Amino acid sequence: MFDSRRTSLALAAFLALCLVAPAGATTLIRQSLDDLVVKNETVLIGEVVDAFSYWNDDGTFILTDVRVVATEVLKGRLEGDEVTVTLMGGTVGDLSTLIVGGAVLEPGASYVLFLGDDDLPGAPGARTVRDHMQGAFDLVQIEGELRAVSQANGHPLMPDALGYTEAAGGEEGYPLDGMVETMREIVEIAAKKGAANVR
Amino acid sequence: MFAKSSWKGLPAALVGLVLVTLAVPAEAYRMIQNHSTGRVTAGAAVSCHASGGFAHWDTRNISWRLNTSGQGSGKTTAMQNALAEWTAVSGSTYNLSYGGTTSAGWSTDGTNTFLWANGNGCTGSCLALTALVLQSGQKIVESDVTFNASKSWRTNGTDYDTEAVAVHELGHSLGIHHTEVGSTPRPSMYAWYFGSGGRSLESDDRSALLCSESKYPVTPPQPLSVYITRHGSWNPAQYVVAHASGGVPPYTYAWYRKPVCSGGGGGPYDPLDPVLPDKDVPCSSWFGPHYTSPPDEWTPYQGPNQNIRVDVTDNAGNTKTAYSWAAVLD
Repeated sequence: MFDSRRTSLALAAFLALCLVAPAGATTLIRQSLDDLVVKNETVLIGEVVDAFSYWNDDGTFILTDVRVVATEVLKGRLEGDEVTVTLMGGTVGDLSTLIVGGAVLEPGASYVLFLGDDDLPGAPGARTVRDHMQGAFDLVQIEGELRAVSQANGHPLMPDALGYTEAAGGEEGYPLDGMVETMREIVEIAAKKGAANVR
Repeated sequence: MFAKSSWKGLPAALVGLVLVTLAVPAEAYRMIQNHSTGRVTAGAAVSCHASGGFAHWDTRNISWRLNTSGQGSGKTTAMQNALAEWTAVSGSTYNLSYGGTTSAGWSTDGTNTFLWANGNGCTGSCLALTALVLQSGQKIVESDVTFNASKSWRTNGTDYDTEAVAVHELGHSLGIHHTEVGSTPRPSMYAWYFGSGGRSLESDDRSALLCSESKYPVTPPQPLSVYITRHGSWNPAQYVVAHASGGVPPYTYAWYRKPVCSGGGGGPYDPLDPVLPDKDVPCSSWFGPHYTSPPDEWTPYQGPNQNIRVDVTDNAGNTKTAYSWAAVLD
């Protein structure tokens, strides 16, 4: 006999299976907002005022220095209100180097940035967006509200420890005010736990 | 609590939802588009037919090397298999080959390299990273893949499976972005790592490669050819020009001369030529190269009745010879 409820449950289970993420992801492991705040040394909101691409000292890799004027520093300290973020890739002359999955920082645009120090080719310990596209949130107006939307949106990520795969904030991102408040709380809690610098 | 009646419409709704979930859009694969203007860009995901095109190679023969330091040791077979998977795409002429080991790193050096490192901008949440080096027109001229050495990379099918990730990153190196296919069987260009299942390409992956190939066909180079013309007169010096075409530019030119014996003795005609130190040089010998260039023209030592020869070598190492005989020269 056809049992609609049993059928429904079976279909629901099947649907769940269809939607469950498999284990793993190629390039980047999903970082929650907590991860991004805790694991990076500097978190700020800022506007990119300049970007300059160049060959590193060894002449082996094109890097780009992005000058960011911070409007709000949520974690870490800056000397002044400006920070230079070094990214791999860029264009010099006829040659471009492109990092698949890298952060995109355009002059004139504003972002929430999660910055850490990393060894880039020819630039050891450079201040960079270590989590690549996950570490840069575009600031966009959505229905009159300023929201921060992860650049990793639309790029499913390897599941984190909780099995989440969607970029932090999802497609619509976070309302900026709420995000700032949450990040301050995360910083405060992490500081209390003495884990603010845990990577 | 749900009333029983509330379940009645659910099967159809769920079936519909499942169908929507499983529906694979036509050409769900995506390509990497880059119109860099001096700033960093990660490359947008666009359809194969998007205006503005996408990153692509203009050669079908792409050689990769493996840096065997650190976790690169013991990964040769995995890499060869990954390369072979893309080469085996039916209807494609791409030939991804294994060129052996290298000490090259994460650098723009003309070598396509797989390597493992703690750094290179791939730490923490990053498993592997692909860099594309592009010339104008989105022409890919090099690609490197760096694997995060702080993770455990395996070849026995357990995580992280080197071959599966290499297949995926090679897809990026061919200008292919993450697919929008979300259903099984998952393409290798699915954005998530899903274990050793990613070793095998699916139709979506193959379609991406074939579309790229059809969008950017490679015209086989014409065979290298060369001929010589002469210009001017003997007073002042005459010069000769080599006209090379085909092959793989740029060219280098090696100029030779051979005197035509005039009269007996078998010696060369021009005793002032420092390259022909005496008259005992056999008439039949070519002397040189007197001059290796570019440029493509040469003013030989004055004197009539000289045979001129040029060996032109293209950038692929092919050589073609052309002659301008004395009868033509003077």
